[in-house]
Formats: sequence, C-alpha cells, structure tokens
Amino acid sequence: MTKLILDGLVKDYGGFRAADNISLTLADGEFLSLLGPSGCGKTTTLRMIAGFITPTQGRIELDGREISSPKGVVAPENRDMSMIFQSYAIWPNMTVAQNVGFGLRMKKLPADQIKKRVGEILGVVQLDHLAERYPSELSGGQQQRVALARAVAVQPKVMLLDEPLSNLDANLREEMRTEIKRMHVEFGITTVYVTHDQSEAMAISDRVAVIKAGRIEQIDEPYRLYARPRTRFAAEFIGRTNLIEGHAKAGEMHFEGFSVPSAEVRSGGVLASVRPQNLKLSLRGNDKPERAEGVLHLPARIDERIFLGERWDYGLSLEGRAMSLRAAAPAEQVFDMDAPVWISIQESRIIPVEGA
Amino acid sequence: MTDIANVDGLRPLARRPKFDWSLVIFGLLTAILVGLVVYPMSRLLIESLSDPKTGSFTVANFFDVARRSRYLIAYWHTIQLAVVTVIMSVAMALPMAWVVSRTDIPGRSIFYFGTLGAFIMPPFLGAIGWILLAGPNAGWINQIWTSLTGIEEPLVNIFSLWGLAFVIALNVFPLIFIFATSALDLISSEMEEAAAIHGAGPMRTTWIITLPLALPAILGAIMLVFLETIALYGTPALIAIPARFNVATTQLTTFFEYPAKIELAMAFSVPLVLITVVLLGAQRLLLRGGHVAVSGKGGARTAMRVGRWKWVFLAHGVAVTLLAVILPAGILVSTSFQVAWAKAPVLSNLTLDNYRAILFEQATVREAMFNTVYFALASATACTILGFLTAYVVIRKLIPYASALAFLAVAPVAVPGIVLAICFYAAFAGPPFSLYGSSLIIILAFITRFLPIAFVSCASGIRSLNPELEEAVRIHGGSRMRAMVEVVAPVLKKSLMGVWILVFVICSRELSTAMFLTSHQNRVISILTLDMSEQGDYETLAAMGVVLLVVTSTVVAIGMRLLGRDFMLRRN
Repeated sequence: MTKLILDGLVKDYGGFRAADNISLTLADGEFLSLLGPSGCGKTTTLRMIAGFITPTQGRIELDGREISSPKGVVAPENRDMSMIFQSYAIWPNMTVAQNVGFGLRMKKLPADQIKKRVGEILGVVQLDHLAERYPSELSGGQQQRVALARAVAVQPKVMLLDEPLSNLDANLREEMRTEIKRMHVEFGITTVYVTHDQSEAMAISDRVAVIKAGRIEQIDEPYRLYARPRTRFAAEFIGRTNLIEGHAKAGEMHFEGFSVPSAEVRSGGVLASVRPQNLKLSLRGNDKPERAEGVLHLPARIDERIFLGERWDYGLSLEGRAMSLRAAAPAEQVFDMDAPVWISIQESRIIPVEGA
Repeated sequence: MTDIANVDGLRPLARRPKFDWSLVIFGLLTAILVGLVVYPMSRLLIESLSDPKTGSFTVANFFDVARRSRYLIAYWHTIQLAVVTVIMSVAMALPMAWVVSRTDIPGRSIFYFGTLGAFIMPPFLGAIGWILLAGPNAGWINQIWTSLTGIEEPLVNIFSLWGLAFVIALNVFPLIFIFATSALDLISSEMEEAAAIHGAGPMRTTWIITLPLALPAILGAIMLVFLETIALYGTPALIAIPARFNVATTQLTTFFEYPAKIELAMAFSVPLVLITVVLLGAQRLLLRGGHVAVSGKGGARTAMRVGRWKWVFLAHGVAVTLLAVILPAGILVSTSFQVAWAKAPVLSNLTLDNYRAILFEQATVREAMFNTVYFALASATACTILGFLTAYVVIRKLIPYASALAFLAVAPVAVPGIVLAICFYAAFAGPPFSLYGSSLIIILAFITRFLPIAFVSCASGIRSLNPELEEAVRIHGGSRMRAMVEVVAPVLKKSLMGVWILVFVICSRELSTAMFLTSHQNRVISILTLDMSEQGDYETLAAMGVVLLVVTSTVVAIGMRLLGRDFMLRRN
C-alpha cells in the first residue's frame, strides 16, 4: 500500500514563491492531476515529489518515511518512483529494450528476468516488434509508449508524468491518454499527472488539484470540480462559465432583479457561477413561460451569435438590466440577432463560488 | 493489478541507499583544476614581484626589464611583426572567405582544402619549408632566379621581419577564413538584394553591406591572429634568430641561459599576458555586441555572380594554397628523399637513408617521435575527460560556485604557451615535485594549455542536451555518475571525439609550451626541429617532418570521415 503525503510544501526562488503551502494526500493507486496555467507551480511541485528540487518549507512523506524536507532529500534514484517527461527523455543511445530495462538493471535484477519482463511490458504497449530499434527510428507516439513502458517496468510506488502529451498532435494525444489510463487501471500505480489542459485532466484523473500562483485552489473529483467550483479561478479554468456578482443574506443570493435560495452561502458579497449549458433558451412572445418549481425565467435579447458546428454560442443581454450572459444551445435552436428570448435556469445550477 | 506487475524482490532491493561517488569526483576535479591552473599561474605574479635572493616583495624586476633597450626593442619588433602578419593574413583569407561563402565561382572547394592544409601544417614545418624555398643563398626560389637571370643577388630573403610575417601569415590565415565564412554564411542575401533593388551593383553591395555586417567577426579574428603571432615561439626561433633580430618570445628564452633569471623572465612576460587579456576581452565584447543580422539563422542565400573577376579570385585562392601548403609540403617531401637538399633532385641525389636514419638509427629522433605521439595521446585523453567533467559540473551547476570552475577552465587562454611553460617550470620543475625533464610535466602543461578548447566544446555539447535525459536516469534508479557514463558521454560521443582529435593534433605540434620543460629525455619533434635546424641537418629533419605530417593528416582524415568535413574548421 502506497501513501504519499505532501505537507505544507513551499518553494521560493529568490523573492518568487513558486509553490505555496501545497498539501495533499494520495491514496494507494490514486490518479491525481495537478492542473493549472503555465508558471503556476505544478511542475515545481512534481519535481519536489521526484526529489529534483529541495523544498524551502514543508515535507514529503512516502509510506510513513520522510523523503523530502528543507534539511535534505532522498536522491531521486532512491525514491522508488518513475517519471515520464515532457520531452519523453528516451535515451537516444540505447535501444527500446535497453531503455525499458534500464530501471530493472539499476535494481540489479538478473539479466534473464529483465529480458522477460521487458518483453512483457513491451507487449502491453504493443511495441514488442520494435524492441531492438533506436529511438530515432520511432515516431513521436511510439517514443511516448517507450517512455510509458520504461516508467511502468520498474513497478514504482509512485509514477510522475510531466505534461506527457503536450508534444503530440491532437489525434495521438487522445490515443495516448487512453493508453495511460489503461496502464493505470492495469497496474494500479499511484500517479501524479501534471497538465495545463483541463479536458485532459478531467478525462484521466480520479481527482484534480487546480493550482494558481503556487496555491491549490480546489482539489476534487472531476465532475464535482465542474459542477461545484469553489473559487472564481476554478470556475473559469474548468470549462466556460458565466460569473455574476451579487450579495447574500439569510440563505438567499440576491442579484440584480432576481434572487436564488442557497443553503451554503455566507452573508455578504457573493460571486456565483452558472454554466452556459445550463441556460435554456426559448422564443419570447407575449405569453409568460410556464412556471415550474425552482426554475428561474429571465427575459433577454440575442446580442451575439456564433455557430460552432455542434452548437450555438449565444451572447445575451438581460432586458432592463446591465447584465450579459452566454448560453450554449443545440445546433437546431436558431435565433436571429436581437430576437427576444426567455432564459430558463435551474436555481440549483447557480453556484456560489466566493465572496465577490 | 495483473501478475506482470509482481516480480519477486523488486521493491526491497530499491530501498538500499547508494553512495553517490560523484561528489568525491567533483571535489577531486576542483583540486586538479586548482593544481593545474591556479598554482602555476600564480607563480607568474609571485616570482615577478619577489626578490630572487631574499624572496621579499619588490618591483625591481620590472625596472630591470624596462631599463634594457634590447628588451624594449624585442617588444617593438613583436608589435611590428603582429601588425604585418595581420595585414598579410587578411589579404590572404578575406577574398577566399568571400568567394566560398557568397559567390558561384567554380572550384571553390579547393579553398577549403587549402585552408585545412594550412591549418594542419605545423608552423615549424611551414617555416622549415620556407627556409628551404627562400633562404637567401641556397633557397630554391633564389637558385632558380639566379640560374634564369644570372643575377647573384637573391630575389627573396625569408630571414627578415617581412619574411617571418609572411610565413606566420601562411599559417594563421585559416583563423580569419573560419570566422569570416561563418559570419558571411549568416548574412541573409535579402540584405544584399535590398541594396541591389535600391541601385547598388554587386561589388558596391559587397563593400557597403556584406563586409561591414561581417566586420565584428573579422575584427575578432584579427585580434586572435595578433595574439597568436605575439605568442608564437617556433617560427621566430627558426627565422628571426638566424636573421639576428629579436622578438619578445625569443628574448624570453635568453633569460634561461645560465644563470637563469626566472624573475626577469616572469616580469618580461607580464605585458604579454596583459595584452592577451585585454585583446581577448575586447574580442568577446565585439562578438557579443555584433550586428543583429549576424546572429541566429541566416535566411536563404543566393550565390553572387562575379563574371570575369572570377579568374582573379580563383588565381588568388590557388596561389595561397600553393604558398601555404603545396610548396612547403612539396619541398619537405623532396628534401626528405635527398642526400643534399640544395642540389637538384637527380637520381644520384635520391636516397631513403633519411627515413632509415630517423626510424632505425637515430635514437634521439625515434624517441622524440615516440614522445610526441605519447604526449599527444595522453594529453588529448586527459584534456577531453577533464574538459567534459568540468563542463558537466558547470553547465548542470552540480556544486556551489560552479561558475568559478568555468573561469579556471578557460583562464589558460590568457597565457601564451611560452609563458605557461615558464610558469610550469617555476611551479613543478624544482622540489618538491622535481618534474623537470619528465614526461609528466609536459603532459600536464599540454593539458592545461588546451583545457579551454576542450572545455568550451564540451560545454556547448552539454548545453544542447536536454537535462531531462539525465533526470530520467536518476528517477529510474541510476546515480549522477551513471547518467554521465551511460547517457551524456555516449550521446555526445561525436563531439567528444572531435575534441579529442583536435587536441591530439595541436598537441602533436605544440612547441612553445614544451620549451623550458624538456631535457634530453622528454624531447618532442617540435623541439628537436629547432636543434636540427640549427645544425643544418635539413634532410633528416624533412623526413621527420613528413612522418609527422602523415600521422597528423591520417588522424584528421579519420576525424573527417567520422565527424564530417568541418569538424576541424569550426569556430569556437
């Protein structure tokens, strides 16, 4: 059973704080993504886990043993981990089999056992026919598979992936993502995955930690992250959203012209998020829309429309209010510019994210 | 989990901590660099500023040196010599560089051959070749001149400042060629086309656009030629001493005549080092600040058409190749097969005795040839390893203050070879090391002298390597040392081989660094050349020179085969 604990990790570079009080606990076999824009500290955090960087404060513990602290770090080679790098870092002077067998050789396994195991792993990633090739003779996708096989072969306690898909083209990226997920399911290795691509993180992870400016903004399962973002940054970074400002009092959020009940909100200024997909549009004639429990109806006009192929992206301005929203509508639902519409929103879909 | 994932004994083994030997090695490396660079070079300062009898601090040595007009004249000659050499080598190299880089003149590739040949030709052999060609009495050119015209007065006399400058220029012009071609190669011909569309003809464009853009690089090369010339000992010893004028380096050797005055030699060397430091600094500034157009990737280039002028340029390139390579090498080869060099190579004058003598009879020559190869092998190997390790530590910042190591590794460029020899003499010849006359002292001096070359090339190789390759080794269980041995060195195999060959070739002909450090046991070919030339034993000398040329050319040919044509002529 592997248990990896990051406890209050801080990394300063001169006056710049790259990682700020990062704390998380990974359960055995868990797949966790560190998600954030470039320069947010996610790679710094990963490299602290790997032992390449000594933390300024805080500690890392693996199975009850401290492996990193400001006093010192266990060397990367002694941490029982493996890593897939952004550049793949396949050694060009070694064959595919030598690359994959390297970690086993370092563990002083007998040669015949290394050979057998390398063969098995290469079979799993469907590269057995290329075992004696050199990396320069392989395609980008194949190199990525070698890196994956090499990382899995040593049966590490923790596997680290640093934006492994960013150098691949779009088709390959999806294929490799599936491959990584498949290997994770097959071998159950505790995994930390760094990416700036939210859809990648959502698709592959058990949990996602959203990081901004060195701090963890929210750590949650992918769907909860989408449905219940806790911060403005998390709401904006995961998918598209509408953010509306208002204030809260006595279990209700008040916005300009309407209010919504909310059990969890504190009193004071409030910022709420509502996804464009949760705005349902219908043409507004003279009749009033059907009343339904817990559904909000707002009159609006189409300000802007962009056809994206699979759906419409509408820009809306609310009648008589200085508020504009975006809505995603199915491709068949066509409105003209300036058309009057009703926006219908489930009240429970309006999520308070933070004090405005 | 599937059963593939479970291999017995995999995890417990990984727990055993491994000792990291790399720290010990890096510590050792620092100690070696201090011993090779700081210790000998500090002698320059210490000895020049201390009284030889009492050892107390004094500046009297500098006054002693400055008072003798003979010493000052030596420096004045050196400056004159360097200026003339610079002018001559620019005249030789610049048209060739322009032709190779910018024009469609046919037969341009012989220019490369000429430059490479001049680069490979050891300076002292070029000098011997030209003594045989243009000596005032028996020199071949003068003999032919006399027989053609009946005039007894020699046409050319190599034993003069002009002659000396000419011989040196024939040896150093490749430096200017290399810098100028690499700068010209980077200038996009769009720049020239822009001038053309605004009404400038091809020649005018070359003068007002192309050459000015390449100017910083050319000036940088000029400074290198200047430094090379003032530091050169072998060629002046062969030509200036018989011609009875002194230059700084030949004057320096007189301090070693009995009784040796090391402190005066040191004081006399200081200006040489200062000039070097200042010019190297200026050169770096110049190349760093260079024009924007010369940095980065060159755009598309179209060859310029030169029309009728092409015969002039072609003739120029052929003439330089002839003078720098073919004539001196030819006269050496023919002399090596002759009984008496000044006589016509008729059948009765031909012999293989010279080769038999050097290969089987004369122990001095055989030992010198063996020493030359042995020292070059040892120095090239040690230099490459040391340069590689230092560059790795510096680029990957493996120890605190790693950049100080970089400074140590390049510091020897500031010291001319002959001054370095004096430093090594002062540092290691006497007790407690007592290395005078040993192989080790020469190998150590060679290593120090060429460490900057090895370091700079290795550093640029390592810089081009993604550090993730090494991190991948470590995270998969290998140590720092293993990353270096199993990944970094094999991946950089080619550039390391290039460094090795380059250092081997320059060690095999190094003269000035070996001065003052050799006795009869550890002589090398270059040193022996001086002795044999003094004795007028040119036939044996030529045979020895031909052997050296064959060895050097073979090594270079192997290098070109393995590493591509340009590995010797790269600029760094």
